[in-house]
Amino acid sequence: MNAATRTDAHLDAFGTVLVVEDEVLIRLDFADHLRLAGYKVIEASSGDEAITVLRSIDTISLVISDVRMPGTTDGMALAAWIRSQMPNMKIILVSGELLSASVPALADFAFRKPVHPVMLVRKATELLEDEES
Amino acid sequence: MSIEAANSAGPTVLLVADDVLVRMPIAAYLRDCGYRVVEAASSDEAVMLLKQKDVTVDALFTDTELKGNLDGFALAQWVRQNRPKAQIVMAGTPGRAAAEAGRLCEEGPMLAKPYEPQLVETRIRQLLAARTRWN
Repeated sequence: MNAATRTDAHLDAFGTVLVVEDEVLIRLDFADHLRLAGYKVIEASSGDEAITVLRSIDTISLVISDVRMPGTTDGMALAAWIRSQMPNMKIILVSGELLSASVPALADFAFRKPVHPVMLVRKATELLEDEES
Repeated sequence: MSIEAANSAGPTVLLVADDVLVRMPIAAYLRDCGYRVVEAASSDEAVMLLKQKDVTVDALFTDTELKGNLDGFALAQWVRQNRPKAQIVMAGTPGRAAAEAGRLCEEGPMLAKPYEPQLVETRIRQLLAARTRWN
């Protein structure tokens, strides 16, 4: 199914995407592209904000997170927390450096920065549709 | 649609709030009213966005207390000086923020409220109360 044939109702069924990124211009770019593709997006500026959101609502299906973020919870710690609390959650990590061998356990996919938002949307769609089928 | 087209699709509100449990429901409500909402979790994020010429901002909607170098009042002052055409909306409590969001909806692209702003306030209070329980 391509983008032109999706309806809002169909995309709602896929759930909401949580974008976690401390660099606001990157976060905006990712969120904008996902919204343009029809997804509902919630934004978090830190790992701690992400955990607050994930504890508060249950409509999120996919978390896209930067790895290196300031504060007590970086992307790897966030992914580990998610895996322990909500094992069905899809996770995409975005990192500026080569990721360690622990990534396959922690994330469904990892991108090396810089990642074009179009690639991110494509992978998000693939993971969310895979979940539905 | 390109990002540039998205930028010009409707009026843009820059929403600045350092508590994600306040920011999330207000952003969702304003989007349901037809606004494009750009989110900032601190005054520093807000200034970074405002310095981008290709980020249109028709209204600043800010909490009074903020993380970062500027509080809401100082941020509003910055906006008045640097983006003089932008409307300024300030709200220090969830109730006030919900009421102001409701008012923006009546002026906004769809000229109607998708639901009563009271529901936004209630939602915020529920989220904040739940967080108090798990902390």
